[in-house]
Amino acid sequence: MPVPSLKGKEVDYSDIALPSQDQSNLATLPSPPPWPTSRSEFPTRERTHKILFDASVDKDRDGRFRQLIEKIQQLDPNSEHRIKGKGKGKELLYRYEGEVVEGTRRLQSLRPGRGEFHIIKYEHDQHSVGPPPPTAVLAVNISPLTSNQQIRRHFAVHGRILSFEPEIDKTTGSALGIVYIKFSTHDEAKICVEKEHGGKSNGQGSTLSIQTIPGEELKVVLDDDAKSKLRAILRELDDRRRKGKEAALIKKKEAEAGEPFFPQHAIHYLLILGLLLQLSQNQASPACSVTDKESAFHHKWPIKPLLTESALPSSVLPIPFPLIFKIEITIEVPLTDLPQTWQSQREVVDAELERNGNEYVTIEESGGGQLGSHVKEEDVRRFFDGFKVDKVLRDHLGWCVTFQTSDSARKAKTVLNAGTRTLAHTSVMLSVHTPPSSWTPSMRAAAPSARETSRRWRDGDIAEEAERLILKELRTLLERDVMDRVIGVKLRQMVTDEKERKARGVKVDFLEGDAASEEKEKRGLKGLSFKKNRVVKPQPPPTVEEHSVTEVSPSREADEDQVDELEAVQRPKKRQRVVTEDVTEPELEVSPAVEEVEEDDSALSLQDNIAKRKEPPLADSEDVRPIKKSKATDKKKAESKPTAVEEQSPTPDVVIPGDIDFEVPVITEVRLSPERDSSAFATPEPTSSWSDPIRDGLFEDDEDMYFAKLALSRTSDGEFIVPLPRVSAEEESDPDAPPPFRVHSTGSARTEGYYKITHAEKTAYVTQYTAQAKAANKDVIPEPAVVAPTPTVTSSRSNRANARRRAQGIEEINQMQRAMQLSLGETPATDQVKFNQLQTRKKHLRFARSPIHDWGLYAMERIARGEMVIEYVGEVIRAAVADKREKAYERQGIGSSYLFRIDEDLVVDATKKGNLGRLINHSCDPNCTAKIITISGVKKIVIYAKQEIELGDEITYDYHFPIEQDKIPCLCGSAKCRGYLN
Amino acid sequence: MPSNEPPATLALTNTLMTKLKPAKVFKGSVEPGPLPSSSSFNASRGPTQGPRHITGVSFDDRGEFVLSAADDETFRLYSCKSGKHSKTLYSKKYGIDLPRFTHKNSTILHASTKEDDTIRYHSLHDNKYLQYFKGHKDRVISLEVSPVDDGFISGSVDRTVRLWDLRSPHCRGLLTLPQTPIVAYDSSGLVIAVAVNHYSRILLYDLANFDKAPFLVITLDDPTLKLISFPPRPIYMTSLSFSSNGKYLLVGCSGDAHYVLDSFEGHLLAKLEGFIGLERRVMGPPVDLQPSKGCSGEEVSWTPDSKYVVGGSLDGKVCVWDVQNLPARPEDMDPTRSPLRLNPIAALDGHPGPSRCVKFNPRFAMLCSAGAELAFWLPDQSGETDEIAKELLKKSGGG
Repeated sequence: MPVPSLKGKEVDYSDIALPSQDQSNLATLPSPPPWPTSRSEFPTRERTHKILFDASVDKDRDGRFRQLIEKIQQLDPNSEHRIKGKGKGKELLYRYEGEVVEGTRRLQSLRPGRGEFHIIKYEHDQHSVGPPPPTAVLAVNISPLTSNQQIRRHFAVHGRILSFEPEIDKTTGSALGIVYIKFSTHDEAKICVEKEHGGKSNGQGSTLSIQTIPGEELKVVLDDDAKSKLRAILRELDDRRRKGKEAALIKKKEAEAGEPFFPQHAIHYLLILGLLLQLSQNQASPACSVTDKESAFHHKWPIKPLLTESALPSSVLPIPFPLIFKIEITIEVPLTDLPQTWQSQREVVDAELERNGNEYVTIEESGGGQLGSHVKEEDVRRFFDGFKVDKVLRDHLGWCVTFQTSDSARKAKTVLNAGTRTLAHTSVMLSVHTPPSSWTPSMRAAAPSARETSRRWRDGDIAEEAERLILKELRTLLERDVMDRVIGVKLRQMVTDEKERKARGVKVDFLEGDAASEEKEKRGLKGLSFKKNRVVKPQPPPTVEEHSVTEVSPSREADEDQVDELEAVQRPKKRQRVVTEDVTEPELEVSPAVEEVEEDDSALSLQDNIAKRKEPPLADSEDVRPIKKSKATDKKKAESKPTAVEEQSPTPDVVIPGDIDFEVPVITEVRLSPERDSSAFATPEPTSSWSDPIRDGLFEDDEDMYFAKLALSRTSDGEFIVPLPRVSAEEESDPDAPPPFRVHSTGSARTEGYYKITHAEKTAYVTQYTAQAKAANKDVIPEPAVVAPTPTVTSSRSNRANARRRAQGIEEINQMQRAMQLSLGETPATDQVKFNQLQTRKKHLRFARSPIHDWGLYAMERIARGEMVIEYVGEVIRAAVADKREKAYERQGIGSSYLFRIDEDLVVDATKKGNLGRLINHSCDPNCTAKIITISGVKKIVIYAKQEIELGDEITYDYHFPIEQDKIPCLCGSAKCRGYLN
Repeated sequence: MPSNEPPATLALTNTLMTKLKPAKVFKGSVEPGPLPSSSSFNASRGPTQGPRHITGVSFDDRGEFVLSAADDETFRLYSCKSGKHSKTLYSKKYGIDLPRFTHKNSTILHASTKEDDTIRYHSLHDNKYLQYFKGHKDRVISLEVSPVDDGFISGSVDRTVRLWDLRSPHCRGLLTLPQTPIVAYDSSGLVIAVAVNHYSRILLYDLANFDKAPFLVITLDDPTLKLISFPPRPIYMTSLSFSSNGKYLLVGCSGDAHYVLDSFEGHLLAKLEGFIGLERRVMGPPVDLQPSKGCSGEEVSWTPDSKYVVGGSLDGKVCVWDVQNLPARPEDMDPTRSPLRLNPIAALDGHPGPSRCVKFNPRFAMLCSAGAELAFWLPDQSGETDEIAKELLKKSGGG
């Protein structure tokens, strides 16, 4: 056993001091002071020492320190400084300044380093920083078809649900399958996440009572009160939608760009095309311009043979007509399609509607017919006076009116369908349509074609393409030109002339011209029913456009080929007739086209009919003929004035160029709408050729005829008045559109009978209004500048003044009566005549079905902010009675509550007795407030406008129901909707 | 713990460290002192001037508790696991400074600020003093418990370092030094480092033979200081700590920089910058010409994985320096060459007032900072909401 020995050794501080001397060499560095060598620097009272052994602490198991102590005591008599302690076994063995070198046992560190740390989480308490732990969960991937009640029930298992907010797509209104559910505690939310996350409803082992999106598992995560995750998700969805739209746009652009992908020399075509267009615009006479253009073509066309080969307008026929010219361009291009013009027109309208983005309104006659072309844009604008009309558009289907605000369309419908206004003296029906989305079917059609066009261009293709383009453009332009500049103006002028003349009392009779013979039987069997009917109806002033409208409608696009064929076949006949016009005059009366026109315009002309019928029926056509002829010449002269073309010749002869090849089967007739016959029928006044069908024995009396015409007009026009196919196509086009609301198996909601619309379905509807409200809010900002509420204010003020006066009058009456009673010795009764001043201040309101709930109240006039809207009238009962009644009503199945609490103990019950005020619906973002005011000591509930109320706005106020357990879902659809009434 | 499986752990990363967020802030962790009547207090000891602060914090070995000692002569025990305050104890008679857990989580050592300079061994559990360690003749400014056994060392203004054992009231060893020493144990418990301020020396002793000459003498010199002022302000070391892997020695200073040294050779490896030193107690008055301790001393420490240094700042920020990629020790260390200057990877906003005490929990991913208030910091592990949303939609979009 080695016994440690003590060897004295002085600590050598010189090696500690050494480095500091090195430092002094560094001139730039101030060296720290040198290590002190003198012992005076160190504490003097004690020397550095170490206790080698402390009996109280150290275990001297092997006894070697014992031995050492004994040894030291033996060897060193002055060992007191080394061995301290009292008595044996309590010594402390000191060592001074490293007298002994001794190995040490290496101990395990009790404070080891650590690379991995445990995760801890703190509960929320008053010391915690930041928001409390989330009590809400966000569930995604729920099937949109799951009803909210179902979802709610499913999640309610985990705890008390404080709020339940299913998210809906703001644009389509469909459920997103995302639900934000707030539980009362964090633990509940946590349990919910643990239990629900990753659950699968489909397939085996389904643990969910609700459906998820097929192939997906339910995802549930905690979300904070600020809904940050929900917002992030919605933002992300928005981004995606936008990107999708952008992609669609790019696609569209590419599709468009596909067309101009011409190689260099193809541009020439386009240049020429541009030139042509310019020409056509400069030239007033289309017929002339066409020929000019042709020559221009031949001059400038760089590849002339190609042109002639590929036969651009191989024959351009300027055909002078006796009344109005008719231009026919025969083109040997198989792909020419008749309705392309309307197609393009419609595209323009579509584009406009899409740009507007708000719901729009289409106009049709009350009887279901199409509006006549006599209606001008100004008329329409006047009709919509008071609404923020954005654009008035028209296509071949009729008028479309867009609005600056999204809800105007519906308002307009509500107000104007009430029948207070007429459009050009015709009562009309408005129908509201949703705007087409950007991905319209036409665009979809364009996409594949773009792919087609992006193929490599060969010379032949280029030529074809250019040709096609040019022809298309040319056609539309010509047509428009003729319509706008020549025929339209003339006709209108003529109409006004005639009207004036008529007003002056000049009887203008003229025959239905021989032009009628031009009208062809184009409708197959449709027109046959009146074949024998020799009715040539007096025409209202129809413009040429109208014919264009009637001729090609979507409904007939299907049998377009048939029409083409028909036309091709009939053509020669027609020609002949044109040539032999003078000779075979009587033929025209038999022409079935007469009926066609009649059908078309019957709806319009009905109004005039009665008046016209009173006029003496005109004699045979023979008698009238000269008059008519002269009239025709008149007309023609009038028309030729601005155009100044070759129509000077008064002869109605038609020169048909011999080179027309009628045998070519692919020939398509591009008939520019101003046709002779149409112009002939465009006579605004009852024509002399109008033979009385009653006299002919077709109808028994006027009434019969009236209804027959009505029926006819419906069959011919009713089916394509509303562009329904378009709307449905739009719906389909949106990939993430919700499933159509309801498919009516009987074909119509009206015939469907009673069916319940579930709450879930209703919420889907609500989104429409949400979107509207959103757009409306957006638009509202510039409004105050435009709408000056002054007139209404003054009117209301004068109204009040009047009311006061009236009240005063009544008061006087009462006083008088009182005086009389007193004089008669009776006790004066209380006021016998009462005057409700609130009644006079009531606004013009109307009730109608409401999207919010059953019936709603709508403003039929503009109401300024702060004005009284209506009083809430009902029986005033005590609260106790009200409670009883409420239960009674519930028992009786009166679901709606018409109880309005005035104060602690009074309630107004409007269930059985009341006024329109009870129909006002609740909204979380209302436009009115209910105030309780005291009028001569009686408390009244009065609804005041909280903001400007526009024409047709639904009147709403906040019901302020107390919070209850049984929630009443709110369908107000406003952006601020709380989801529940209570 | 009822659960059998080991709790989830995580390694510290830069992102994690930058995502540290105060999870708990204990606002009333220091009792407000009497209104400072400047006339009566100017004669008293320095640290009591200004607002009352927490002067020191200590974690127990398992990281379950943290102990704070404050100017208000209280020491409070907090549970790190639950994030709750569990106990407040008073040492009104002696004052309390330098609280240190022993290896038991119910007993602590602390230095006194009043009466005498005895180190006291206290049982939290029954609020009793178990032992007084008398010997120092002046204020104790450094106190460290051996990582391996019940020994501990203390440095005092009386220019001595004393070694102690919890079991014995007698001083187990004494080291005399020419100036106020700051002491530290290395992670193996075999080496002690003693920093001597005035001489800018750090002496490394073999614990078994500390009474002999130190086996390594490091002269701490920072050539970059002369760029700031001339003559450069001397470095005033206020704390010393070895990294748990034993490679580095962190020298905390009262100035605007801390230093990381190589613990084997003594080379200066990095200068940690980007904070305001705690030489002053409050922002505003300029520093004295002569450097002083100020309220520095507890504000900088290693994370237990030796990857990061966390430190406080006078403006209340908590800085995190990434010291994983320190340069290898050069063979011929040129003392004139500037050390690697490291800026914090994160300067996190915590509580108002200076962050005087910043320590990382030895076992949990949690950091404690203290000054006028005490804060528990946790890495914020909730991801970005946007990313979560994308994640939620991504899969739903897939199907």
